[in-house]
Amino acid sequence: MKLNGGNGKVVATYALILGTIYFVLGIFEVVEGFGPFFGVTEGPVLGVEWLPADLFGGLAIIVVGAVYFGATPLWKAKYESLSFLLVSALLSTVFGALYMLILGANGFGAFLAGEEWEWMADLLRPEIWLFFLSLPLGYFALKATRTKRER
Amino acid sequence: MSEKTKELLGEEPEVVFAEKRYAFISEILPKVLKGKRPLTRSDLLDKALLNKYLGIPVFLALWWALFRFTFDVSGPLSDLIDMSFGSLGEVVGGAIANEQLASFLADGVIGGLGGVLVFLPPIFFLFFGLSILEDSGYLARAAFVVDRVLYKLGLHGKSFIPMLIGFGCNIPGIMAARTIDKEEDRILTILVNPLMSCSARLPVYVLIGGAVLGGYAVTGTFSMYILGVVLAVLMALLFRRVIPYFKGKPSPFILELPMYSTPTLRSSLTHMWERGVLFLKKAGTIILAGIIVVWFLSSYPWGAPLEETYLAMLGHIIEPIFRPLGFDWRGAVGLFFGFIAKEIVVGSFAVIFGLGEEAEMESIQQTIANQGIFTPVTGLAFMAFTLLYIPCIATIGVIYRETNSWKWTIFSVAYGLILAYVVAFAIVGIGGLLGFA
Repeated sequence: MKLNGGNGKVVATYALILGTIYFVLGIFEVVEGFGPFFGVTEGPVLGVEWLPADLFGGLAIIVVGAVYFGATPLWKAKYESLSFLLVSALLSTVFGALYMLILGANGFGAFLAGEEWEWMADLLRPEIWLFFLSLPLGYFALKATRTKRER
Repeated sequence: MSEKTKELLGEEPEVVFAEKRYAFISEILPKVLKGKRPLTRSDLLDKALLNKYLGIPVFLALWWALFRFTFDVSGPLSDLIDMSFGSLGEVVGGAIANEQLASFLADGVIGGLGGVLVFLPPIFFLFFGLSILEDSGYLARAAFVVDRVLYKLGLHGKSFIPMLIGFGCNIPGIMAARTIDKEEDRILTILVNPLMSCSARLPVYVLIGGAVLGGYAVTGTFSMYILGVVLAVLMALLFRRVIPYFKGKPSPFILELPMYSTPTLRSSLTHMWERGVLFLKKAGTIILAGIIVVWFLSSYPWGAPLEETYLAMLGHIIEPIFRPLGFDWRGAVGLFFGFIAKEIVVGSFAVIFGLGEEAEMESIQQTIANQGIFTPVTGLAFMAFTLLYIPCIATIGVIYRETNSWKWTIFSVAYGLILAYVVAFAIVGIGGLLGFA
């Protein structure tokens, strides 16, 4: 698969949308994480139940979003910009895999303690479903890049 | 000799060699390669991972992911060890008729050691994650990325690797500083290395954070690692400015980046085992010995209430020093024994509370929370104190061996203690001002 004007525009638009989602959700997570500083000790600050209150986790996905933004010059089929697409897809995979592992660990922990596993809260973690949304971009980045120097 | 060479060349010899080598490569390449040089996947990864603006944020994001992996994913395995030692303590305690021997085995050996071994999974997970980063070739890039900042702050780029190793254990971290040629840069790196939060401090963060920080336990723990790095850099900057011996700029950092590669499970597991087994050995020797001493002091005179034991007496003697930080005699005793090894802090809490027979992590945490030993602010101050004062006796020995100077060894211990006290005091003060007291 080669990067060209046609697929470059699609990929750049997709990366921009995904980057924005990561960025906005990251900000929300940070805001939720700062809940006690806003005097909110119970319940979500923004009124969205499934949003995690995770200060550093939020900052981390803001970074993922920022790296996706770096891929927008793909609109002009700029080959170098695939670097940002590669790294952002890699980061999406790292965070997606991480929260899926945490999901499994929480399940195992609940089994050991004989407690009920609240899997829905873990499964709704935005990084998990954003990872699945990142897969097409990761696939494209891998297919469009060279592994070896070609003459 | 090296000074003479530097004088002759007008620059650091490594810099001159590297420049000449790459000039030679650049001269040959156009003659043997025609056309535009295509970028490989490895080049592309470097473009983003070494990016001027995104390099450091990406490094911090990956570091955060490593922490979540270390603590959250390993959690159930720790619970499993916890439960096993709890059951073993109950069985042993119930099977032995002699009360003192039963207490020694159940509360002292099994309770204390169980309280430490629950941290085996997070420590192994941390090393596994670090091995993946190292084997993939990313750690070398991370060193390159942070060099820009380190150099400005007076540290040598090569200091990054000893500092990174210090996250596992300060002893190999300090020894890794041998790669730094310039004596002043090497000693400066050794002096700030103990501020890197080694894996032995982790159990204390997990215990205290879990007890008093609630949902912010992981954030609190991560903050300690960041605090360690920030203070290491600030101290380096301060020493560079204030101590005449360190005056001047660090020598330049030259690093040839390895190719990226896919880490194999076998190699990552091997690296994890090689590093993690050190903790296991330490747990079976120095930590076990330390915990037995704590058990003895907390159990004798036999039958006396805890407040009248030798341990309480010792604690009450040193308590006034720690009172301004909000630590009572139990916290003071924990820190006192933490001088031997940080892992003993947790074991000593288990023994002090007499929770040996059911020394599950949660019960120690519940006791800390219920008895009000720490508030969230004093808990955070205790974590910071644990982070900043000298890691263990073995580290002091290595500092002496590597600097070959009692002056630097004593300086390292003294400034660590003063810094720990000042930072803990500041946390309590600022927390109080913000109304968190």
